[in-house]
Amino acid sequence: MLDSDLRVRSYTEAARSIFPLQPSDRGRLLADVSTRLANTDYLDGAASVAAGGAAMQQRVTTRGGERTLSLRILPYRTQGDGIDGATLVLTDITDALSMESALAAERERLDLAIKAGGIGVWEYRADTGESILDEICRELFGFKTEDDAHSRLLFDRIAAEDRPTVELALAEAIAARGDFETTFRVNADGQERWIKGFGRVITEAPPHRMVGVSIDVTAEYAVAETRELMLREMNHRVKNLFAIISGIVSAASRSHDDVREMAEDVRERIATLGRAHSLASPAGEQQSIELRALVEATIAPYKGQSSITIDGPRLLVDRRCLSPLALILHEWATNSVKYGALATAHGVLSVTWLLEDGQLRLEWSETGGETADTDSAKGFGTLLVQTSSRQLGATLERDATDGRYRLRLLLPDTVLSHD
Amino acid sequence: MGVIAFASFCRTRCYRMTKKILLVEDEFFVALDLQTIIEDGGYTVDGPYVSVQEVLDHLDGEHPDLACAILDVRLRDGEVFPAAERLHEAGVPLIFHSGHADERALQSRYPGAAVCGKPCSPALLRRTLSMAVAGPDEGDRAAS
Repeated sequence: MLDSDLRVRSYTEAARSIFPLQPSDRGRLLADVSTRLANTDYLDGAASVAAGGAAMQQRVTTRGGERTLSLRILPYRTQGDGIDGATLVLTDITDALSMESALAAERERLDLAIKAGGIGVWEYRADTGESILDEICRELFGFKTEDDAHSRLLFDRIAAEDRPTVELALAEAIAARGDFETTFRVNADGQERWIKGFGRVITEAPPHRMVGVSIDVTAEYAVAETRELMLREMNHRVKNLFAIISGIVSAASRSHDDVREMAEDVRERIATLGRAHSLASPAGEQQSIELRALVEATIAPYKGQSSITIDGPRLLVDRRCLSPLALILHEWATNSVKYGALATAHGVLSVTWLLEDGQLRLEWSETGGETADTDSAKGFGTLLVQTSSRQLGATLERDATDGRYRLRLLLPDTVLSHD
Repeated sequence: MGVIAFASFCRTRCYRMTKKILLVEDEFFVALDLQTIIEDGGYTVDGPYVSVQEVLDHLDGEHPDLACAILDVRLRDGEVFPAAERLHEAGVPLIFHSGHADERALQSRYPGAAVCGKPCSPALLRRTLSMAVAGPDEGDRAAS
């Protein structure tokens, strides 16, 4: 407090943090008192107020700028309503200010995160059905900026089969004043989208509102759907392989008396199935296999000194035909190793294929080996070839002329994959 | 009741030398397996038929005398039910062999039908087959 001459009349302990006053400073001119404030504008202010001017408020900083204070200069009123000096009231607002700027920064970050994350923010009033959507939320639901987005219209955008679930979840959350969390499909501009909504009822002030966010989870759903499809596909393949192996064991049991021989024969076929199966993408997305890869993989174990040519256009075989085709090629290869071109050093095997009148014509031609008897016995291998051909809907021709042994498989278009 | 049924069963049995089992299955390796099981049980196989149309044509043309039918549910040209209907009406015991079968639905639709999930164990299939061929009264008698 200052008197009318702006001499220090009294001070509080806290004031000493700005004006390092000593008891002996009482009565000294404020102008002579040292200060930590950056400037001495307060002297003019004090003079003006002490002279009857209006009270004033200003923001001041300490010399280093570390602290910000609010300075109010009030007239010092005497009992007789006269003015006898001024009172300087200093309030440190540094913390409050930094909190404010921290809050502003926080808000900015949040805004940024909401924008970057594609998060739509919405508000919903159950009593009126009114809803307020931000820009992103409008986009998620396929509303144009100028469109009315009353909740009635919002619900129209939700896929019919998901609508009751969303309505129920909303009603339950509002009744229980709890949280709302639902994932649903939205038809926005003719395209389907998966939206995950999360909301909370705000009960601080009536009317009760629900405030929430919505995010687009279409991509996540697509991944989950693909994964499920892949699992189903793998499951199907495994079951199918079991069925084929059971059939092979059954067939083997009929044509074999010797257990060791039978085990050996069955294991050979299982290995063939395994090799063919590894051609199909383990990810399960691939529905087709290149015919060349299948032929190569099946013949590879029997490659000796004989010359083998494999030739044909690039064709994709439907994955479902993989096992029977591999079994047929395997039987042909084992026979060739026993009697045919693959049994001798000068043997020549050529495997070729072409598309003809919508049919796949696969030809297996050997020279240099013995020409195996054309009416082969009803052996195990023959049974497997027959069963595989029937499964494929294929017809088999064979002929042996001029030292050339030829097998021809005519396959319907259905064995090919067109994706 | 049981005695009369047993008598009639015995009579049919004496007239029929080897019992014929209709096999409907569009996976040939599965068919091969089933065929072995059926034949090892002392029956003959009528089939395998791979489509509903094939079975219907066969039933129309030949009126085969069947002791039982083993049916895959999903075939190339649809579900086996039109054929199952016909067989059921003719009193042929049915065994559904399917990877997707809903057992309860099938049994309410075709009372007395047996359902073997795919893949089915040979022992279970043999047992189911011999029970189906023997007829339901066989089971009743065993229970009483």
